[in-house]
Amino acid sequence: MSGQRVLVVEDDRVINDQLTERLRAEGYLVTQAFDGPSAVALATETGPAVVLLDVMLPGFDGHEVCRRIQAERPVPVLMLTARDDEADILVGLGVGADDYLTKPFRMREVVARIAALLRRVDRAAELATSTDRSPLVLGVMCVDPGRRRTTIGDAEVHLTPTEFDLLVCLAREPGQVLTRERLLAEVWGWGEAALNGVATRTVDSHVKALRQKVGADWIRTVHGVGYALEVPTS
Amino acid sequence: MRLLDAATSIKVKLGALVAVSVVVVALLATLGTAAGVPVWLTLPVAVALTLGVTQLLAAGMVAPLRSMTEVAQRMARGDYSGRVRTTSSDEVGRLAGVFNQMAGDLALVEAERRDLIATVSHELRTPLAAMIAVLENLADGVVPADAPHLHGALAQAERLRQLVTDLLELSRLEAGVTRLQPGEIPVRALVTECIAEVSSAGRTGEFDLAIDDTLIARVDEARLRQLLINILDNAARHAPTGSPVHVAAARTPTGWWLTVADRGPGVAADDRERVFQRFGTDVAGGGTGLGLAVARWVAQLHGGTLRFIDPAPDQPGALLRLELPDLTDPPTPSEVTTVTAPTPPTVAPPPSGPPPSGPEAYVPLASGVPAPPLGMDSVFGSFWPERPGLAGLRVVVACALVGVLAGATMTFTAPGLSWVLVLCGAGCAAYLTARHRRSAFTIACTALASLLVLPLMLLDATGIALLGVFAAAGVFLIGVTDARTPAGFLLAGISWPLSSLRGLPWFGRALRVVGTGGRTPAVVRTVVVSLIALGVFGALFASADALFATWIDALVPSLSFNDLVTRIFVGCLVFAVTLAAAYLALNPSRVEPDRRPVDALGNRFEWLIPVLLVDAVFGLFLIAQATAVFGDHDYVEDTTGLTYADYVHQGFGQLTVATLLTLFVVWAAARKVKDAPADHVWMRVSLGLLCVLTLIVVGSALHRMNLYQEAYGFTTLRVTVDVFEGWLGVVVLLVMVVGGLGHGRRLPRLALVTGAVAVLGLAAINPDAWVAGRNIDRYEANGTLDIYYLQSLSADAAPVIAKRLPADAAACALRHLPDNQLSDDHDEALGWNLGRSRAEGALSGLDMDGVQATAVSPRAPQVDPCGSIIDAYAAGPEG
Repeated sequence: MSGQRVLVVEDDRVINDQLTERLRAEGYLVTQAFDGPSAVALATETGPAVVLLDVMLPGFDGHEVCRRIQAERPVPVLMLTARDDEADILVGLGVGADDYLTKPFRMREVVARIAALLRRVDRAAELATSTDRSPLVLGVMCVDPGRRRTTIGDAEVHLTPTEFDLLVCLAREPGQVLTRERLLAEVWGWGEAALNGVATRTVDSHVKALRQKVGADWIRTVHGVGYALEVPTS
Repeated sequence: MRLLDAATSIKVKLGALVAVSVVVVALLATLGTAAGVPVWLTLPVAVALTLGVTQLLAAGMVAPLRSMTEVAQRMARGDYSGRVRTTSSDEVGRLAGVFNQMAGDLALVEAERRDLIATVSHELRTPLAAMIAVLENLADGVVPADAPHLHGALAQAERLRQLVTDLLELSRLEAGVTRLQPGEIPVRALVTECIAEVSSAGRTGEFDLAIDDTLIARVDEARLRQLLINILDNAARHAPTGSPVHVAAARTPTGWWLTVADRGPGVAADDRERVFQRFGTDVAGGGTGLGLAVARWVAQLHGGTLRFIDPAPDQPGALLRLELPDLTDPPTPSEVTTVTAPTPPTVAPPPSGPPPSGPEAYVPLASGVPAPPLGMDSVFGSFWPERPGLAGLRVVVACALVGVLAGATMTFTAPGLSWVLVLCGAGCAAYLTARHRRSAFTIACTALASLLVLPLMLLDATGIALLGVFAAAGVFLIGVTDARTPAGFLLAGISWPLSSLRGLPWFGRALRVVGTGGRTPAVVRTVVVSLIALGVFGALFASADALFATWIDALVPSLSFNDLVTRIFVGCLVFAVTLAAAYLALNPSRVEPDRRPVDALGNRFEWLIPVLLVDAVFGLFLIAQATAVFGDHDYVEDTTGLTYADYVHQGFGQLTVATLLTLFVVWAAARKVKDAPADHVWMRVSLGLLCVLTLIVVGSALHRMNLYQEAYGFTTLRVTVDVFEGWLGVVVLLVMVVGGLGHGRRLPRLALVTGAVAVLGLAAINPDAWVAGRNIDRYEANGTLDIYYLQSLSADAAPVIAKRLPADAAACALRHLPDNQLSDDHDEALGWNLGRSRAEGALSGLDMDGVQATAVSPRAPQVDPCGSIIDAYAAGPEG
């Protein structure tokens, strides 16, 4: 874990400095960026393992930065936003962010989320090399963990890495209700310690984004419990 | 656009409404009188027309108020999008306009409030996040707790403090009214003080003043200080290091101005208004985003302006210019100038992302309250609610067709075929719209009703035929309202006339549909327009050209003006009556509300003793009866001084009433009995006894009537009363059987059906013919015959009379028929009636000319050939 590079993009100097101090203390290599264009440039230049990205930036905003970075190379992105708005968060998830935190946030939580993101990358890499890579076929939907591609009928559905992992997790046990806690553990790699209201909202937001892409009738909500993948009857 | 929209006062509208109504009624009354239309026909039509006029003229008066109520309710739920639509220009219309404006303002304020909260929370988050970041790192030992780091945390706290102060200041300024306390202030001194304050707050920067020491301004010092600090701080933040900020001020004829110029990046022309909005400025430079908004507010409070203007070409940067007039009112210690706050500045749109507000974002403030009922809905309440989406136009059209049929065929026609057709048409129109039309009871009632109107066509006896029509109407109304209890039957009957009021809004809506698009309305419009065109041009050409007029005459039945008016009146009346029935069928009133169960009497004796007393009285009465029946007539005459016939006649009416009251007693007692086995046994015994006794009373009454008829002859009325008493007997029997079996709830309907069957039976025996036959039987037995009474019978009796009496007597008994019932020679097919057509057949065999009272010669006294014959029959064989 140590020695991995983190790109911190945040226009507020104080926040940026404090994040940098904290992450360095945790053993990461940190690159600082204070606006959109330099963030994109530094991402290309340094190839960070994870990007910590503020939404509101001079130049162009965090969503645009995220889009450009992701277009170049899939990299986990943790968004920082001052707006606790569902719509805002969905936009972020739509452009390829893997997780988000709202300001004001706790440093320890940032560190924990970054660790979880990096762990997940490792797990994905592990899965990609493991034996269980056969495509999952559910009705007209086909999820191929080997090639990380999803099709419904003939149409390909473009999913972010997090959404894809979430879908694979649900598709391995079609019809079964998976609790938010289990999804958090399997997809995000969070242990029991990280469980709180914010964490379960992370699951809800990603499921909502996934629903928008694959169609709402594929994923059934079991209120107070979790989610299940169902092959639509029609 | 409605008719009275141009009127600017509701008084004018009401006046016009009253005037138009009065004119309509007056015209109608005059027309009716001129055409000889009876008052009972004119009155309902006048009322209906007046109501129609009201519907037409008053709709626009009330609609905006209703609409306002609805919009206000939506606003109470947090939905500010509703607006009142009105075209009227009276007080209500103006109120609606103001109301709309208020709704718009409220919506704006609400949206701004939501924007502000979203923006403020956003602005507070960043310094808070930074402060937490520093403090957490300090606490966790990530960074050392040295002076620079502690200062960093402090600076963030300072940012928060400044933001909160500005927000409070702004909210105080926006509270609406702010008092200005003007004073004579030396401008240069004030600016110098403010510069000192800005510098002490940490702004490093030089200021370069060009202000005359003698410049004295009349301003509110505290407010102006606030303004100056904000704009000087803003300039110092944007000025590059080493370049001074120029501040200049001078007097103008009416006030003074002040400019602040810095050599910073300047403000682009497009942004010069935005920066004065809350959070409209770029906060990166260290400001709170509120300073300029506060400054402009102060300027506006003083009646001045604050804006960025174009800098001189050789001096790039931002040039901010403040222009203030001198506050005119000289300050007195007790007096303060009150200035109404200008329109609050709008919030700058959030820097990125979709706007925080939106229709989906609003949260209902109060749970929805059901709309209070309006108009007819409030008058009739839960008794007669109206369901939405009732079929409208086609029902009205069907009823109108029935009205046209009535006007064309029923007017000037004796009861016969056409009346039955109209009644059946009306019944059909109402039945086909009925809500309960698939229920078995409604179908049965409709079938019974259609049988009950047939006597109109089959019998000439008007009384029986009318009885049938009343029974038909009653049965039909009870059928369509699905009534079950006697109270429900009564309410169903009352609902019919009330329906003409309840249905008015529905009628109005149905007519309004005609003005809109759609296929049926288009057809209706076409028919109406065609008929008007046909009538107008036909009449014009007929009066212009004789040949054309003869063609018209051949086609159209002769129509005098008076005839036409009467036909229209009859048509309107039938239309209205049919429409009322159809509305009742379409939207039945709740004639059977959920009545709360009757509390049973606590003690058995409370109901049992009265019932047993009634039993005893009945028993005593029957003993008296037995004495009279089994003793001889002399005993009666000796005791009462009455002849036996008088004696029996006297009691019949009272016995009928007693039978009715007994039914009531049984009904009332049965409701009050406790639900216990012992009580039920007592009830069955006591009430059963009462029923048996009543049956004997009914038998006795019928027996009395029989005796009386034998003594004085038969009449139609006596037969009818017999049938009624017999029906009561059947009902008592039903009470015993059905009530005893525990199906008391079905009794009212069974009584209704048996009653209707009894009326049918009465009509089936053809009472006039039967009565004539029985009287002739009597004549054959004892030789007396009241020919005068036979003359009063309807045409139904003619075949029997002609067949069984000698020709001269028969001719005398029937001699008024040709002048009365059989005189309708026109519209023979429409007025066809079985009774009359049989009578005509019977008369054809008699010499009717011989019995007319005619003078033999002009000078001789009139000789009535029938006089002697009638006297001879009346006297009997002894005379």
